[in-house]
Amino acid sequence: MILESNFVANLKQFAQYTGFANVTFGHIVMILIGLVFIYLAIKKDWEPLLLIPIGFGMIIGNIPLFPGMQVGIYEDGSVLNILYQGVRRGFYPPLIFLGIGAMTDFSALISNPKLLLVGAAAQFGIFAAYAGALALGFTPAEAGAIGIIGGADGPTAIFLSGKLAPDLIGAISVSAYSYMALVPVIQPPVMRLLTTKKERVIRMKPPRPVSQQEKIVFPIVGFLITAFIVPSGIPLLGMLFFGNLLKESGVTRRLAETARGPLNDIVVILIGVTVGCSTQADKFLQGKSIMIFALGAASFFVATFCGVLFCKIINLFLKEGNKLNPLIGNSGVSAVPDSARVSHVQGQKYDPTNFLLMHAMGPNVAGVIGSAVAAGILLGFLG
Amino acid sequence: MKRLFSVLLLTSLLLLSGRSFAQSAVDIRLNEVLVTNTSGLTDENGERCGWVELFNTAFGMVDVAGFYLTDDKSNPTKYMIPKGNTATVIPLRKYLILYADGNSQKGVFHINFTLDGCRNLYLYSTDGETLIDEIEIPAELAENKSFGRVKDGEGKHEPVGWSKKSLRKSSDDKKIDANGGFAVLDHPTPGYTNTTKAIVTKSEKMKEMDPWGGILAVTAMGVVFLCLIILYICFKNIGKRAVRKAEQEKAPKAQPVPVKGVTVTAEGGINEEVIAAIAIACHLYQNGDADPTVHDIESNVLTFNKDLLRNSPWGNKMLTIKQDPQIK
Repeated sequence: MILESNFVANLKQFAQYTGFANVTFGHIVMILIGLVFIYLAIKKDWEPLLLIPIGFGMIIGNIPLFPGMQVGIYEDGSVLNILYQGVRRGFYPPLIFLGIGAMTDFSALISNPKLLLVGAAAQFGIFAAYAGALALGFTPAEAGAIGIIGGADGPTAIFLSGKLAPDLIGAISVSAYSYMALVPVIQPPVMRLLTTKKERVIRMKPPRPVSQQEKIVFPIVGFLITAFIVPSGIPLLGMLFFGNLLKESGVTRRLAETARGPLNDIVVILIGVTVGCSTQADKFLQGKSIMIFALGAASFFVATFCGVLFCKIINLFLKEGNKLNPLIGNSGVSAVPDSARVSHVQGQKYDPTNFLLMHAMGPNVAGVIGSAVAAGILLGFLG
Repeated sequence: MKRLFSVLLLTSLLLLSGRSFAQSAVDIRLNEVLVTNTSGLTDENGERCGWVELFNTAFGMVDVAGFYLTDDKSNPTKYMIPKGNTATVIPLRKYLILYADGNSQKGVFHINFTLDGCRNLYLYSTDGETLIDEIEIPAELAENKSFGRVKDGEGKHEPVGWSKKSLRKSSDDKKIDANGGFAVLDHPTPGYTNTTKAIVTKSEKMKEMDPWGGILAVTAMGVVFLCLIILYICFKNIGKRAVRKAEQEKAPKAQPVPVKGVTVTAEGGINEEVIAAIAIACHLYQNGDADPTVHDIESNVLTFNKDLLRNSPWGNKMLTIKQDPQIK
């Protein structure tokens, strides 16, 4: 009899530990969002390298837990918590920047350096979202973290939100990556709105060949200039330019391949899964998250708007034959290489023989530098 | 000699031990005092009374058991902090609260006098003679306001001439520094630091300076543009130089010295040797029975008896080994 009652008590206790006993409506919603991410990645091929880890991470992070079992991502000492420290303390993003540097060819930018300015103009989106977030009642630190979504750079967004608003890291990173995946949907209407048919078929001067020496000088000079002006951006800028030097030096092929290959893949897996896990229902399903998503969308629109508009303004000062096709203005928002691809695809719609991809890569990589600089400035002012 | 050494060693040890005791004793401070408590800290019984906070300024633990606290200088041993309780050990840079409810039977840290009407508090060492610290409480101290050091353990309520080297046994020549480092604290902090001034973060400062974000936006965009404009100027110039250099390299050099039996075109065009080589390569390519390995079909390059290709990277170990850099 006693044995039987003990058995029943054990079963009852076990039942309390199961996910079924602890499930809430929020958990179900978040698991469904995770499944949608996985669906979009597999079926629509939208940023699968990010959406699959984030989507599955959402499912992992939203399995209802009995508190105190030391398995949840927010429970000190759990495995997920240890892995999450890379996001929380911000050491994954610089590693990703190392990989980005090692895989980025800055030739388009070096051959036509005025494209750097297009990359700068597109950073207006960050500060529009910052002002919007302040108006909605966020603190300046939170607003800075939200604003960086407009930089369209996932690692930068994670890095800055980890420093300025750790509580919002889940919403900010998911928002940033979602809009990066949605670049082909968000940007074209703004690009068409701001350009005439004549402007869309402008043929740009083919980029000149860039010497190896210039490619080697670029990361060194680029880092020295940007880091001396914005030292708070060193983690991101340093790794970006270091990775690029590994690539361009020509004597560290193995290191460059590791940085852009296995190392980058490992960090992408860890960052994706842990960011997904961090979106636990109780922390993610809040009114703030909805506002963050709205501000993120607005910042992408503003960034695209400013990039395209800036190209048109620059064209006023350029001679015929040197003019920029304003369709490359959108690629200043980084989101490498998706936004450059959008420029190319849009350009080909109006002139199938006009290849804008290489030209668009210029502002695209300039946007990466610009958003890292902007993140450094925000960190300097608000951190 | 050995004896002298032993005496010196013993003396040093004694001096050191004495010094460490002295340092431990003198490192305790009367840090904060609250006389009338109607809405603040409660004791373990949930009752409110005045309290005294001790602070250990040392970077080591100090046991205050046996120390004396009094409001009457003529009776320095009025209240002794009980011995035999580990809770009397104050860890480094930590605090101990004594409840001044006038009933020492209530617990270890309950003082046998109250602070009502109290103007001075004295802390004596275990010998009941060595004054460690004292505090003069303002007469007009309002209820629920405390009086204490603005910065923990810092202040000049010390006997003049007091130093760690010579611990005086008399407090006659003491005086209270005009600045003191003491103040009435609007927000009592029993058991916590007295530095209650809120730390203003950069974010809070920015909220005050720039509530709508306009200044930050303009400044930050200015810096982003500045960075990228400097980069633009640098690489525009570097690019110009690179183009000039490439043009110089491309420019026709001195006429090549004709090889015996080979003529050079008058226009400085392709060397006839090269033309001959291309012709032979084409001939070999079109001739079906020629060695198919001669040409690198994959890259659409016609080659003319280039020995290296016979040793493909799969077969030639030298081609797979990284060459040492050559200093030219």
